[in-house]
Amino acid sequence: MMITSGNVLGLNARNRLFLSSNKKEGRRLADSKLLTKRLLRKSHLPTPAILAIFRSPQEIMDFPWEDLPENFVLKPSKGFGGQGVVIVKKRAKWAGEWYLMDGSLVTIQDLRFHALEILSGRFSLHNGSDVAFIEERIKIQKIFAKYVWHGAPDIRVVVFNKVPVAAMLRLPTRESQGKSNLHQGAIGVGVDLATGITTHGVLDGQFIRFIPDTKRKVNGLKIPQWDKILTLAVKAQETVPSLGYLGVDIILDKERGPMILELNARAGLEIQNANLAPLKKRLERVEGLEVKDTEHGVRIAKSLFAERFADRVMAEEGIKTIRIWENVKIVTGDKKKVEVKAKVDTGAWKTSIDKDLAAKLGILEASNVLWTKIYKSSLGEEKRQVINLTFFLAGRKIETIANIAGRKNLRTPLIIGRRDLEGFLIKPERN
Amino acid sequence: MLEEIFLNQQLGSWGLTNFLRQAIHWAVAHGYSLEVLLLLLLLPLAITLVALARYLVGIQGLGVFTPVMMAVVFLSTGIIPGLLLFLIILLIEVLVILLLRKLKIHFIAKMALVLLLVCLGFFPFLLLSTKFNTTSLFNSALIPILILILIGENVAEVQLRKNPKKAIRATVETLILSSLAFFVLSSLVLRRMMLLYPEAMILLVAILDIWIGQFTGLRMLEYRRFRKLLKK
Repeated sequence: MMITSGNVLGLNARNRLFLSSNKKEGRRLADSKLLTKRLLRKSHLPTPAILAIFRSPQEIMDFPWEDLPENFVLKPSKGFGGQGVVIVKKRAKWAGEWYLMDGSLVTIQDLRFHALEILSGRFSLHNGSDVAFIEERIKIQKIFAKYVWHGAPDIRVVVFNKVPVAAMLRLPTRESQGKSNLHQGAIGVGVDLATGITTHGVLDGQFIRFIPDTKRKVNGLKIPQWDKILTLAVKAQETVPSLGYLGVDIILDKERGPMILELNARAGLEIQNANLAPLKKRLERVEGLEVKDTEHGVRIAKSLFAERFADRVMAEEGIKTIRIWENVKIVTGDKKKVEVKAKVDTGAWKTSIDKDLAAKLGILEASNVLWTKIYKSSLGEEKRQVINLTFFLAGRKIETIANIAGRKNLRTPLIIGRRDLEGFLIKPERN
Repeated sequence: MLEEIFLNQQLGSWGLTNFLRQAIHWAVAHGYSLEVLLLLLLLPLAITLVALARYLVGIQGLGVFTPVMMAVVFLSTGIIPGLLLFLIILLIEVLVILLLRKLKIHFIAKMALVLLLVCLGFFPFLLLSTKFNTTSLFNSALIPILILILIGENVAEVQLRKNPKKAIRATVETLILSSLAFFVLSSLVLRRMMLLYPEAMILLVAILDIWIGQFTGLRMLEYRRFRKLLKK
């Protein structure tokens, strides 16, 4: 009954195997939005500005609410799942009155009262006392406007061992009242890590292909400044190393670009459904890798977890037939194409390339090496490098990763493994 | 029948295999009730069941102790009256909260006010109860009713306001869990086993706890949640 859990990450495995890498101080930090913001600011990472902080009822009463801008967000510092957040949309006709996301009117009195409720701990994690604060509202990028009812979408990136392992665009809906938390009824949309293009959508545990009440597809949206987003997510973890398994919520400001909204020490699991990709294998894949710097972490993520758009390619071009021996064009370090003889080898998973050839083509530079692994075999220990490789097979561009191997005495300097053969049919007879 | 087994139990000298039985006999000899002692020993089993439901099935309910507390309440009221009572209390509480929705006063003060109205709201039921001659239920179970009111308060005010969908689900799950725990606590078979082999039972519960505690597989409900992923 519970044998084939496979590579899907369940709550038990998350809590016992991965959340254990989140230390107490890190959790304390992530659980307080104010502490998080202070630290981010200190590390010069962008985060939306705070307009006011309320630690006592007196401060709420003394605050000049009339002077608040056109729109803003009132939040509990220790809230979770978007509870207790009030998003103010715009000023109403009279001073001291604003419209909320659903068009209802809110007065200074209402806001004061809500702030008091926050202080009393109604929305905090353990019902303990809390601090309320007002945050500026972010102006969203135009391309998102048609995808959300109101409110700002954000991007959740799960980072483990300084490598982003999954990302999800969270789109607020009418039901979620402009909030981007899935528990409040927002839509989660999986995002391909290599390109920043959206893939699948989930809403309330159901898979959706269109934004409800519209004819807009959830997939195929390219999120702008994708590299910056991934880089920022990795930087967040470098700032808080005590959170090994971290969910980073990033919002895209129209002018200022990606900004960190908050950090999450217990990132949820629905991101797996949104990406239709199990997380456990990805996490295990990344665990223990030596990640040199931010850029290296992003590079590993992009090569390891790129979505295979093979289905779409197949739909457009049909299935291509190839033979065992094929001439492929490898893209060299200076972006030229060089023809190389390759063997199609369905017995191998990863593609491998000869060391000397790789060096000659200029793709063995340190900046192109993803990692070095030590394999133990009957012949003793062997160090094997893994690099990024781009080549054209039967006219189709394949961006992948490849093992470096000594293939000097073999018939071809390149073998192509199963990993890169999706959408091809292989004719087994001799050429 | 339990008494009979108890009286016929032959125990040798104190040892690892009979220390609990010895302790039970000692306690009964000093005037403690056998019923209560067995209940005490069955409680860990009931909580283990709650843990099992959470980590292996995925039923969370409202925490660990609420369902067991409710099960203890059901022991004195009976399960059907107990469940009915809880639903009635919850209904009153939700109604009162809806009634007081517009009133903007501090959270805890409001909770106290809700409680006040709920307690008052009980009088019509007492009236009704006299009509059906079930007064004994209310008299014998005043403390249990108080516990149910407090649990209902938590559901209605705290959980429902935070996230209605989750609260309803958690409540249904709690009712399932508390019924399960009730059957553990009231089962004659389990009591008899606890009386006959308490040491083995306790050891079994401890082993089960450790096993559940280390389980990292998917919960049964997660198989449904991630069914599309698992198909791949």
